[in-house]
Amino acid sequence: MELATANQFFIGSKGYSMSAKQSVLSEILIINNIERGYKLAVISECSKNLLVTVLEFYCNQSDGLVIDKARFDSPMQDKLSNLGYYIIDLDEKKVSIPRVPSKATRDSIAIFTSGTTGQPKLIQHSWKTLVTCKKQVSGQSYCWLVTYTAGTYAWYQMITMAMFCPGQGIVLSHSQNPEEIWSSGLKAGMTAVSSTPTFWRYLFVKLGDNELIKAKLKQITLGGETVTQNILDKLATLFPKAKISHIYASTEAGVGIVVHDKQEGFPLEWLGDNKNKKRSQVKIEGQVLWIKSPYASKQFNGWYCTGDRVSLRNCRVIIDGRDALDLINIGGNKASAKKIQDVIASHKSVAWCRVTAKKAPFVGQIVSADLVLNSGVEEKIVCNFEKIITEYCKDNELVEWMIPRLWKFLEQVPIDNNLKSEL
Amino acid sequence: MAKNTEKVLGLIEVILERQGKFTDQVEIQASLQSIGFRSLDFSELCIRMEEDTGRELNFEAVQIRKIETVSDVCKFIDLALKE
Repeated sequence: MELATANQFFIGSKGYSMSAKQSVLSEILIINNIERGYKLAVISECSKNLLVTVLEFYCNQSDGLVIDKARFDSPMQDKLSNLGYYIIDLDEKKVSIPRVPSKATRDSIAIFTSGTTGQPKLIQHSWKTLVTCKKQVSGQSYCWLVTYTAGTYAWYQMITMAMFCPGQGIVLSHSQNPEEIWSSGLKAGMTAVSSTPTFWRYLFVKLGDNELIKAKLKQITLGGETVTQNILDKLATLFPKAKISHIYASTEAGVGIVVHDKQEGFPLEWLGDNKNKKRSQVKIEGQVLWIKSPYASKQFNGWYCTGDRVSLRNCRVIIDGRDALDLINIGGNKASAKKIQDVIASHKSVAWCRVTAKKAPFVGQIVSADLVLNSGVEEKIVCNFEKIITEYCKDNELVEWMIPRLWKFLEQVPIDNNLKSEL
Repeated sequence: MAKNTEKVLGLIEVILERQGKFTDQVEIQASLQSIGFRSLDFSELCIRMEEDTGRELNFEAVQIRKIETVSDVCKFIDLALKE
């Protein structure tokens, strides 16, 4: 694949060319007398340095991994050392040498999973499996705001798009705070944003609609979490001219489903459509979604069980979420956390909601909800909101045991390093 | 009167009121059935008592018998909160 060298990446309003010339990694390898041709794991808190490292990996056909320092922990360090990776800290200019260095494999990029459902796993990809959106952006010119943490699968989607797809600029931010990331995007004149739904929900509350519409967005892409109809509707109202897409992907399975019709889930007819082998295939087994993607990691070639439960509604397949996490058992009655969450989130005063099970005497579990209300909700509504939302749940066909018993009102949307809020 | 009666009565009122089941003052002798206080409500009450007092209820310490009235609930909570 040819590098799109005319593309630029931005830090604030300053643009840089897509070149590995400014690489800190090269300098460290030379000083420490480390030969190329071995597996390298590079950590830094500077997203620019990590991006340049990825460019260098490509130019030198290195076998490597980059990771944001904030995510890097001892289990990761142990795992990488045991696998024979040199661990290079770009900020401290330090190198940790493995007992038995491992020879590099050509065309290999390793990525740690986000660890949302357990310990992060190390997954092997290739340049080819990481460039997934060439067709979607072909002929379009965008300046993308990168909201994802460096080194994650979603981050690589953005970086490789800027590396190989002409006309695609990217904006990096040194911050992990959504408001600061957004501000970097505005300064650089972003025209497209790829993020989690939580990133938007956080900004709806913190910045408000009037601030958000200052961005002249042509493309909005959502991923990393379940995408609900209310977030799609809200974005479509705020940005009527933008194309809005949502992507279902995982580090292991690669990009599986891409939907552009501003409707949650995906069309029922996509199930069992196996005609085009270059596209992902999807099937449902035992209410769980399976994917076979041409962009899957080398280790997961073939059908991959996502572990996400799905249901059918109005000729659409709706992704309800993690099988094990979604069900709450209240005295033998099973309730879907996603279903409850969707009802609560559809109330006009609610900006964000998370429904979980809480261990409870006599009935095993009861339903608990964390809430963030929209800014500007009247005081008398806020004071009486537990009663208002309980009534609303009843009116929207939630039976008594499905209605949350414990309500916690939060000041802002809780957000983790991956800009997700789901469990 | 059980030690935590006032707190328990207040919480029962909050729980029932939120569900639109009961708006008057709850009487100590009222039967749970008459005020619509069910097992799910009882479960919620226990969790709220734990949060309010910062102590875990010890259900093993309580001789479970029939709980029919608000007074029975108050006694139950008192026993479960004992060391």
